Amino acid sequence: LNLSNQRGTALLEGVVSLPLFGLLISITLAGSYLAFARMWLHHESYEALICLATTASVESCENRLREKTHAVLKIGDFYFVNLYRDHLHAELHAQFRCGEKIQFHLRDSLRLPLLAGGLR
Amino acid sequence: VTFLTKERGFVLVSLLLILPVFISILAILGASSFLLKTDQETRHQCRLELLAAQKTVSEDLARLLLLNPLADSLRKRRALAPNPAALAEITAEQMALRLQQQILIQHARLVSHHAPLMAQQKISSALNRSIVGISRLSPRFSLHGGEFPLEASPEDSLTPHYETDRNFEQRQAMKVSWTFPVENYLSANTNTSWMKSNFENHHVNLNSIHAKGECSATLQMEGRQWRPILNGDR
Repeated sequence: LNLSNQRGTALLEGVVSLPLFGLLISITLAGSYLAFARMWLHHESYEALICLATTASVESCENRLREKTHAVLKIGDFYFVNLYRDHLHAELHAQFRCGEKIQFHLRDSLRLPLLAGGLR
Repeated sequence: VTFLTKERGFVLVSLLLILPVFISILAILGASSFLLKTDQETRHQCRLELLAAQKTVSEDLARLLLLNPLADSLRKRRALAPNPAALAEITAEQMALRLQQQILIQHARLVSHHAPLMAQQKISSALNRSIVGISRLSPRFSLHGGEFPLEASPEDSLTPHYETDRNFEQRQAMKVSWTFPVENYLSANTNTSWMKSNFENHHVNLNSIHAKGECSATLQMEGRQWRPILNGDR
């Protein structure tokens, strides 16, 4: 009787705790992915701005940003990417979406030429 | 009392089971963060160094091209020299101008050649600031200096007219690339060595993963001047 009671308690606790552990792991994994995504997107945004300051075309900089992001971030996609450059500035405005509710707004700019203080 | 102890034990064992998952996630996030930060810093130093070198070269080039009208006029005067005394006087002027031309050319070539080496030192310093013990990191560098290619006409003149080579932009490009195994990075840093052992415990072969970086700069004609610019894929 005692043994079956112990088994029952363990089973009951398992039923209650397993979904909780599952939830905890899911939240941790999702949080880590988002933290990494944020870090990576900021890194690649800056690299895209540097690309705009090179001899590369705006289209190739956008393609490079999309390719490098897709290569690492398998969940989510760019909703839009706007890259712009003139003689004085390079600008980026983009939005990356992971599902419907989670969005990363990326807005950054560099002063050109780079030697005049654009690099940071 | 017996039941309570066992229940506590069950929760504790379950927590212990998922602890490696948390630690692994933390290790991956931490390693990525360190690597991205280092990558940004090294690329920044490389770009800054190569652009500054190209700026110096562009200034030398501009000054060299400014000497062309004087070089042309001296050649014409030499061709029309009425007597040996006048020829000697023009030759002396040409020798002085030639010296100026050669100083500018040699300086530009020296800077073009040494800039990648200077960039390598800056990159090593940047790695050294973020990592304890650069020697253990053993990064491999590949350096390519600019040629500063010029066309002199006439070639046998004391003071030729200098023009940039037709492929000047490509041939003046300086490039530095570097790579090191991620394993070296994690083991060299006291803050990240625990990550390495964590990856090893999970049989992740870090030696096969390499961190890579590169930067390249050249001179590009803008308006009527050569300006330093970072190289990118067209």
